[in-house]
Amino acid sequence: MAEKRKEVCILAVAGMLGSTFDEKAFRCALEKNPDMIGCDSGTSDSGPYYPGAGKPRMNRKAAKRDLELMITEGVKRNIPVLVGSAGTAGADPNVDWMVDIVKEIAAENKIHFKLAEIKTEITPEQLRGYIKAGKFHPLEGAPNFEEKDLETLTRCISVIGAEPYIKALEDGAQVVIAGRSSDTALYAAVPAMYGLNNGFAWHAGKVLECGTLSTVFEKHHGSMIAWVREDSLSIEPGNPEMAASPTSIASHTLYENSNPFYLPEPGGVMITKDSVYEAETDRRVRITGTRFEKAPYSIKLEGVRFEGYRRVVIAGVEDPLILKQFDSWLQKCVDRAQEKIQKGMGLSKEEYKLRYLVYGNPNDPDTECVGVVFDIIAKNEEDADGIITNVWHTALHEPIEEWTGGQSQTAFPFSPPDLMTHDGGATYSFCLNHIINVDDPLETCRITYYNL
Amino acid sequence: MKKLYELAKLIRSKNAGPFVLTLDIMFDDNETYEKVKSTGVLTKSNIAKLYDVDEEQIHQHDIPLARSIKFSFPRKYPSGSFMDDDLYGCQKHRKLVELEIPVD
Repeated sequence: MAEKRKEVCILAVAGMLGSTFDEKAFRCALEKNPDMIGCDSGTSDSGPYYPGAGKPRMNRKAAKRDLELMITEGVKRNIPVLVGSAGTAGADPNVDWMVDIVKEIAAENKIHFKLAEIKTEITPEQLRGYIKAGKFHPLEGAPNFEEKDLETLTRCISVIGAEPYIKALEDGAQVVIAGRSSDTALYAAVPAMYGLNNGFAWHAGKVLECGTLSTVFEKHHGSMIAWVREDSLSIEPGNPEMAASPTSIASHTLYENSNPFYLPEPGGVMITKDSVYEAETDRRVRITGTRFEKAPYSIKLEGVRFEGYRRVVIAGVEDPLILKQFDSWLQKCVDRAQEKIQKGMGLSKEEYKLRYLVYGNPNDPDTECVGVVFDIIAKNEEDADGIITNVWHTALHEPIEEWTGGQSQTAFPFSPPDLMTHDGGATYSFCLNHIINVDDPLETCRITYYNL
Repeated sequence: MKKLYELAKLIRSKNAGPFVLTLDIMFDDNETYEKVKSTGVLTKSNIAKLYDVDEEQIHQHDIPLARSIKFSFPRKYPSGSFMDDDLYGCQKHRKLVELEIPVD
């Protein structure tokens, strides 16, 4: 059990791992002797594909560059290194991907340390247990999710709090790579471990998790440092040429949330309603008045469902006589394509998804070209290919009555005209926005240690 | 009459998680912030009409320390779902940019 401290210094190297953080700012920040070096590595902002596929949205070389700097310095100076929501989605394969990189870094630099890997996915069967026990509740805006939906649940990832990080550190880990975590909890963990599990630890985490986004002018993307105390917190950017101001920090508290005053976290709620932001220096801000109220422990779940295989076509339409009747012409293209798909492929409209998006205003007389995107999702790749080909080929030759004779209507920018997204077009959707009540903050984790 | 973009320092929209859209209107000085608030244009009722959402589903927060007004409501289509056209929910503030505000 760690001793109690009156002040803990925490360092965020950037808002996102793999962003190639400012090295100069990092080295300046290290001179302040932080008690932890951290980085958030994930987000749900880039959509359901990354958790669905278990793939990272960051370049491996860039991620390695960032991790190498953090780990070599952390190990050298005996400062714990914490990374949360590994590899964008924080799913098990994302954690594996990052742990591989860490093992390479250890071998190539010939450094030795204890690594903790924290995986946070739960199986559909585990989720069934919570549902049956009445411990599964929707958050605002949550899609409907019942026990039967477990059959189509591709992946469920729990968003862990600070306790698993504390456990790993108390078990002697020097580097922690964790799956999906509360971005704030990643930073609150070390202060909490030293007895400062208060509003200031969580508020520091809330600001630090975005790196220098909360500075007055983000000249370089990089380090933010905070000092967490019993009755206050101070925060400044690592780069001495950059500054935090009371307005810039207060403004950041409202970023990407629906209620900036009442921010639920695993194990409690951070309340910033009475927070006071003052300039401690011309670049450092002091915050007082933030509270953390404990609440029965609940963990948020992110869940994705496989939806099928996507194909997309982009086309430019320039003929002014088509643009004058664009909506009805597009609808004719779709109707005729769907008839052919039914007759030629035996697929009814209900067996696949089709939509189109129009970019540009066909009703504006100054418009010379309108972009249309046809987007389909089918159950398998063969159907997806067949459907999209039907769609673009139909659009290509769908005539208007104003012209007599064979017409070609769509300008495709490349060959083949149809595109697929990654992994053969595998597409997912978010199907959970729920929490589970837990008795033990560690019950959704699997922690493994490696002596590297 | 002024347009909102002439008065605000930043108008933006973003996801607050994949299921909720949040709109922020931020001002540089307290006087403009208070004046705009007092015109009664930026209300849940008007946001409901502009964005075709139920007024009861809208949360509004005034944040004096950041001189900001925030509106949040459930997204019509969750981020990255088939009918969604804006993954990050970041271009949904368009309807606010040229809103007419009755100030000098």
